[in-house]
Amino acid sequence: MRGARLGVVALGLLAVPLLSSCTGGMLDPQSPRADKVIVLWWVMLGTSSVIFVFLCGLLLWGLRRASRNSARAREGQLNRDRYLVLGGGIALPVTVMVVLMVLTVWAGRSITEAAGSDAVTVEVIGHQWWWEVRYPDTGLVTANEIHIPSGEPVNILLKSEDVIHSFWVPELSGKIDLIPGRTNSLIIEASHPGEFRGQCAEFCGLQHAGMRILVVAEDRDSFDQWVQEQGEPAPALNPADDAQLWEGQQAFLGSACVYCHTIRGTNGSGTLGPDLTHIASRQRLASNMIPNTRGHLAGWILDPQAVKPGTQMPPTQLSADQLDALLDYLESLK
Amino acid sequence: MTGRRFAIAVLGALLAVTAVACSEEDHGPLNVPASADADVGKQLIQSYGCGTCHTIPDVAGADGRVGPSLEDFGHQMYIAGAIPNDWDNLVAWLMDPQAIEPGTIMPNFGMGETTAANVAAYLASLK
Repeated sequence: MRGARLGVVALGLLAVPLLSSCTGGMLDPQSPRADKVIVLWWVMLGTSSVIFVFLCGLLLWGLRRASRNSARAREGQLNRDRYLVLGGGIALPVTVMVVLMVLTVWAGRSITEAAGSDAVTVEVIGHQWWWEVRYPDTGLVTANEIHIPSGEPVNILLKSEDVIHSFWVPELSGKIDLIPGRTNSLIIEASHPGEFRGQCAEFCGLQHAGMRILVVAEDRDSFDQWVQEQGEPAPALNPADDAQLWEGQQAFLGSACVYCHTIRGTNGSGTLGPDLTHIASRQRLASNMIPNTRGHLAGWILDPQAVKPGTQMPPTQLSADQLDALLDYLESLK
Repeated sequence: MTGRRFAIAVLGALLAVTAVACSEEDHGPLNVPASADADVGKQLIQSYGCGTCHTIPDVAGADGRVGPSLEDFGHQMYIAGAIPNDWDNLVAWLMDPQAIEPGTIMPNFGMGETTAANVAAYLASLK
């Protein structure tokens, strides 16, 4: 008996350091809003653990008592048992539920309450399997990488183009689904500059796990500068001065790329895939699956299915000269 | 006891000599100069992203199939099916693949000689 109880306690004690030693992620909030979510999480874990241990004890106690007691001894205990049932079966659950509900509403409000009217608004549109990112105030369009000013609440408006996705950047906020046909909203706030990884948190098909998002929080000046740079179209090229980049642009416009991708400032205005106007400024490719370096970019263009099986992007066949020029061109789109 | 211990020592020594001899014989045509660092090369391979097109042992995520697998590259006789796989050719190939085999889809990475040598050192170690 004592051994079993000891075992339960030891397991519980072990779980705490194991969980708290996780770095990054939900248990390491970097935001005043995620702080509230984590308070709720710990309270729920604590409450459930206490109830679990208490119930296990009660069960063992009941088993022992039942085997010892005779029918005669039970008579006198009926009254006491009634209080136990009323207290443990009704009063306690109601109290616990009310407390947890109040806490849940408190934490939920902190992540969905609208930020001030001057707050930055970002529209995030889920696609199988990447994130379209729009800044309606400035008309800026990018993908898979959200920049936000640190220390400010930011409105995130969530929509879906196809199936249900879920937006979750654990260090910054709770998660909310992206539902086709409606707009959900979420507030995120980073308490300091940094990079925070997120992930689609609702199974959405083959590459659900490969649908990653990066949030870059930076100070207000860097953010404003980023917004200004991203708003610029791609520079105009002329074949005499920038022969190689021109060739690359022709490769983009003359191959299948152009049907799905936009490069503002060119005739390329496809909308099925991410906007590539500033592709070189992004850290990673394929919805944050691989680093954005020349080799990865080349492999991704030639054989995307190997990097991300099931992705909507088909392989592209190019000649050696076209590929080299295309890589130079894309790498110039800072 | 002493006799047995001595025998074991002798066997051990013999094994060591054989192993050294084997590894020397194993060197193949790629004589890697001491200045080239395979560990640095491995990191460069990771950061350039060679593995998105090639399968490369011990490089995370390197399971590409656009180009040939580089498993056992240290034993491979030719580069790009075009020139013998010796040290100078390998470095030259990495610095400008198009110059060696015009039309190959492998892009030019603008590697300098030191960078190419470090990458080559890692490739030479694959056997």
